[in-house]
Amino acid sequence: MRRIRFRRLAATCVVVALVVGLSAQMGADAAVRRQTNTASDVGITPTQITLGNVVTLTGPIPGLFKGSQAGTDAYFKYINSLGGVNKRKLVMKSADDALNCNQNQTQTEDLVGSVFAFVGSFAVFDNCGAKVFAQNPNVADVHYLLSDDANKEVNGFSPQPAPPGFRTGPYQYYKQKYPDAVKKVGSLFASTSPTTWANQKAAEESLGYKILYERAVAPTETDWTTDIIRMKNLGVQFWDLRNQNASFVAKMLSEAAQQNFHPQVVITNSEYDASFFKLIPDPTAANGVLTDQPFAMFLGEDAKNVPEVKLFQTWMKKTHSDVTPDLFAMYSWASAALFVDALKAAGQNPTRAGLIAALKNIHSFDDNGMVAPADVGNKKPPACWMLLKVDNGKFVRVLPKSKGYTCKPTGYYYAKS
Amino acid sequence: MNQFLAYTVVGVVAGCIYAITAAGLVVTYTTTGIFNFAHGAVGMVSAFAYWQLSSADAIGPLSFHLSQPVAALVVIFVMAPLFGAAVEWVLMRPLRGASLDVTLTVTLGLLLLLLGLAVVLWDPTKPRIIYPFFRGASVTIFGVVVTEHQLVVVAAAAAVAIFLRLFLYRTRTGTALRAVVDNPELTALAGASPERFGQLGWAIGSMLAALAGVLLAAIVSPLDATTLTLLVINGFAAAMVGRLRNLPLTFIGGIALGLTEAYLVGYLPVGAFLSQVKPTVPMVFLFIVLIILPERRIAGRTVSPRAPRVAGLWESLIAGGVLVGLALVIGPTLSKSNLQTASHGVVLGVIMLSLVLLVGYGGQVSLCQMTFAGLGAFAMGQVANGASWWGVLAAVGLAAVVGAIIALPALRLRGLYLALATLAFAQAMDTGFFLNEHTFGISGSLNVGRVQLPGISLDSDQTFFVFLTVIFALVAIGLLALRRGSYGRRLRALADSPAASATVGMNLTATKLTVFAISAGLAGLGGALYGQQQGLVGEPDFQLLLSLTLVLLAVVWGIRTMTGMLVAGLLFAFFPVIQSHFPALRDLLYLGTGLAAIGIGRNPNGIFGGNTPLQRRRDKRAAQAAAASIVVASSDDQSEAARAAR
Repeated sequence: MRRIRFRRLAATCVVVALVVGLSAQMGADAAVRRQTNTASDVGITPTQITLGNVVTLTGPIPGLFKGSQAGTDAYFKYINSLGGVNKRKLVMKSADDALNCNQNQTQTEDLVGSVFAFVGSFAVFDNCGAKVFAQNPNVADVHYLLSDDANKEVNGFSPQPAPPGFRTGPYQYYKQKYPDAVKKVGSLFASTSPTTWANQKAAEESLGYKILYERAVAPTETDWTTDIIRMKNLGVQFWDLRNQNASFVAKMLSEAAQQNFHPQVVITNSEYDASFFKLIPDPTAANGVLTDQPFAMFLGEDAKNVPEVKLFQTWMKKTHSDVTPDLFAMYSWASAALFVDALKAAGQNPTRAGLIAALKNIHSFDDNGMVAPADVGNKKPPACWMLLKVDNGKFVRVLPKSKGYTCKPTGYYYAKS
Repeated sequence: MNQFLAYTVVGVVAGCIYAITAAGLVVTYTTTGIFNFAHGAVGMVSAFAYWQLSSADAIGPLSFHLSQPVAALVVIFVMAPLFGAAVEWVLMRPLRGASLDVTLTVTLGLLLLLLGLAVVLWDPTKPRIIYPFFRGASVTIFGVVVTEHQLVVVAAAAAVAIFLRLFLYRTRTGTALRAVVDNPELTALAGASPERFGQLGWAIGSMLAALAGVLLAAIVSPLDATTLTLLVINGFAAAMVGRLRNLPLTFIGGIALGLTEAYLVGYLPVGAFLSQVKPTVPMVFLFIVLIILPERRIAGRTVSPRAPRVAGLWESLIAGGVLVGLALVIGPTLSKSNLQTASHGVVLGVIMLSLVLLVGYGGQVSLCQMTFAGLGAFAMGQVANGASWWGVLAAVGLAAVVGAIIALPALRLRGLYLALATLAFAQAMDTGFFLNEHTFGISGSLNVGRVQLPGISLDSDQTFFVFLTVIFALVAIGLLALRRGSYGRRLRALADSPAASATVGMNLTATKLTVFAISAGLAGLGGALYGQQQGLVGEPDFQLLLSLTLVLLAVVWGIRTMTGMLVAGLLFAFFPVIQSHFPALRDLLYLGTGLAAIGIGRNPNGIFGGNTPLQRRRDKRAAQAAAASIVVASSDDQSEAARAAR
């Protein structure tokens, strides 16, 4: 009897041991499987991830967003030099929309079936591509979203969301610092983007600014002397030159200096450009001009304090020495960085749905200081900003003095849609 | 008062820029009889050549790093005249005696070709800086600081006006130059060579374009090909004040335009209107000048190319059926993106059909069809949330009404003047209407939905593609029916000889008004379809340069043919796809269209315009039959005469 019990016990032990052993083996196998790369979704193989990108390279304004394509490519090459993401190389399939709405839509359509996600696109007509993303809600579109339609994409993610409206933090700062000047505002804005000015003006007026003079400037205009004489006579003290390109800002500042028009404050958001001091015959004409921006001084001034700026400069030079780093290159670099952050969070074998979930989960992205922190997942604009000024042919940080961003005051004027 | 004087100084300086650009146009017209739409483009290329010769940043051919004055002299007195002479020899000489449509197409083609070439040769992403002459030096006049470079512009404009007036009217060469335009045969009998003087005229015109380009370079800097080219269009108004002949009046026109701009910007109340006014002024000025110019007599017979045979009802019905059948067969084989692009092409084809009626049949030049299409798209998007048949009706109605309104002042214009008036309208609408934030909404684009047919959903791209080809076929069949009828014969008569048409009692006013209205309505229908196909529309869809490209492609492929319009539309739509295979060419649309358009001189009917071997054989047989009947008739007459004599 005792022998029988012993045999049963022994048999039970053997079975248990076998079960435990088998389970352990299965677990180990599963773990190994988890560490192995698989073709987990469209555009992914065990060794590479293919990503789409639609940029304006040709057409009526050739090379418009050439910098953007270079910025994304430079970041991917940098990541690939480190071995890629989970040992997968990032490969970019780039398309040109030739500044054409239909072409933007069809190029996006062409890529959407073969790429894992879209990263670093830059196009005036991203509202046309937005239609394709609306039909493919599982495909992430990570880029600086320009149009309202693109901003409304549920699967669209920008390193710095910019919903219709305008940030009011800098305007509050100017109001505190120059309380009299903000009651005498003049503006020459680009006729091609009246909406931006409308939002900006509403933001200013919501804080009590008084607009004395405003006029839309067409791209073919070459002389603004009449406007300058008029603003001078009206007593304009706060000249808002936001919403103009760098060459127009340079020309307008030169004409203002020529006519001895020296308002107390001149602000812009486009002079921070590598070619600016070449564009302005006498750089001192731009002395004191202020620029508030939600990103670092990516042209190189912040390289010492913000390693990401140095990295950006190095890899742009290494991979696209013929392209001058510009705002578009910087934003596309940041978009690529945002994508890589989300891709890592989506696991070893990511899926399109997993990537979107990971992007939605990013609530403070700053690309290691390259851009001001923004809640990407909730599509909230950055609350912080920095201020720089022109000083004898150089861009100089004003606020904060050494590095980073100021978040006081902060705010955003949301336009009624 | 000080303010008024200040604005006056600003206006005079700006006016001199207009005057100097207009002077070149006037000289070319006076000495060659051709209005050179490419004048601005020649100036633009000269400005780039000036940079290439003088800038320290220039690399590659011709980067000699010359001083700015030396480079300016080389461009103005060596390169530009050589270029002008070459253009005359290669392009213009074969066009002697050609109709206005042909010369207009060739010069517009040259404009696009030079624009396309400029962006290939000079990478537009690199800023090209030109500094003004006497950098930093200035004088103060009535409280306004004027740079010495601006004074050079003023002096150059005055000198050009005086010198050229004396040259053209007080020298034998100048008189011969003008005589060649008035009557080349008679001038040749007097011993002058029309070819040589024609070439001299083009050389002088190019020199003036180069002078304008060099002087404007520092004002526009960094150089931009489109801005430099379009700046000269503003000078058209000044040239028209001088009726393209009178240089002093042209100068006065330039100054008047500059002053009008300065006073309006200086005195209008701040607000939305002020914003629209400055870029619109030159075009409104041009429109008004064209309307109030002393009336010209009604044009007599014009030389127009032989019209292709008009298809009969059954033939057009069968062709339409074949087209729809092809769409049904080919559609499913196309990728989604190619299907969308093909649909886009068919829509552009519908817009181009509006040109068949107006330009092809009626002989009325229009450079603003995309503007009418834009009005149609706007109406479609605004009515009933943009997806209603009421929207389509509104699109056609709005465009037709505006077309008729535009036709009213243009009734007494034809040819070049009509072309310029429609160009002015297109540019003014772009800056004054399409760019207005209230037109396409706060986001700059207007959503347009698709209409639905009873029992058939047009949501699928495949079905919509077939629907579009049905619309294209119906419009084409309708146009051919119109052409075969009495209205079509009236249009043909209007195109061939307005004077003769008026003599036989034809109501020119009614015919012109209706053809403008119907054509604009068709373009409006095209615009409504454009919006539905694309899903949204905005200002960039309806710019002036697109209208020009559309007209040129239509002429190149045969502006009286339905097949030509379909092919042209499809090519226009597929250009960006082709472009993506040739990124180095940067702007294939302008390059390709320009190149094709300047070849139109050798084939005025266009590619599908009646030069197929079959049509040539038919024409030959018809000509032989006509000749035989004339011989028979003549012999009958002789017999009759002989009988009578007996």
